[in-house]
Amino acid sequence: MKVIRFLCLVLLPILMTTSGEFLLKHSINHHQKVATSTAATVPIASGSPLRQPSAIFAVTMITLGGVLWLVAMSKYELSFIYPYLSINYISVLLGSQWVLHESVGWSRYASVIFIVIGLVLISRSPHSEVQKKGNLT
Amino acid sequence: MIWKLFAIVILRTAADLSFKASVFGIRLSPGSGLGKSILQVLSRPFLWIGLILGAANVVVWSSALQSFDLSYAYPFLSFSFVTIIIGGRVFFNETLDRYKTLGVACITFGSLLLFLQ
Repeated sequence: MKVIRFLCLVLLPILMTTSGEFLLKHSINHHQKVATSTAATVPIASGSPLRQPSAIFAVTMITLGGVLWLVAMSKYELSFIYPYLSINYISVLLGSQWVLHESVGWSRYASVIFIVIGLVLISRSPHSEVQKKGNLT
Repeated sequence: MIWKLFAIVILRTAADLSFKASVFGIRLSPGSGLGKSILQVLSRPFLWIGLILGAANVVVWSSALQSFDLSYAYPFLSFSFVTIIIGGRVFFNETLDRYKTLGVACITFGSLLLFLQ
């Protein structure tokens, strides 16, 4: 039960948000070639790449992943689940390079390393739980 | 177009602080009073302000992705941890200890590294 809860509340939202981001970026990249300039700047204009079903699906996945993450924050101690957010940053970087074929230079890797260290430090704070009291998240 | 990334950081921070404000001072216990607490949260304007800001965040983020690499824009969003922690200190008097301060410093440095390329 514990493992299933962990998979559903911690790993599933991470999987949903990261794959949602890849799908969103992929559908935007794919569409840009035919988008007009107005459609490219106004996200909800007709002909905008965000009106594609795949982009709408991606945004839905990201949103649902965010909601699940809020549930996880109410069930687990922040110091336990905060460091798992690092998976998001690392997988987005690797996926951008391998799936979306972006050129990821050393500065982006260095940046993510500092972000991960920062997240782990914040999660070690003895005051992270106090904030949570009486709070939905 | 870089303003879009800063706008997202501001929108995320404002949305999270609004959500916090909407549940601030309400005790959510799984007992008999839960339904009442939920109604209380739903009646707070901050909840709806937070939801509107959250929706605006999605729209601006999607449009930012049209101008930036995902591997550039996504790590930059982590800067919102910094602004949210500062907002928690200013608006909700949350404790800012040395772990959070160091963590915030690391994330700030990490976000600045993105500008070097």
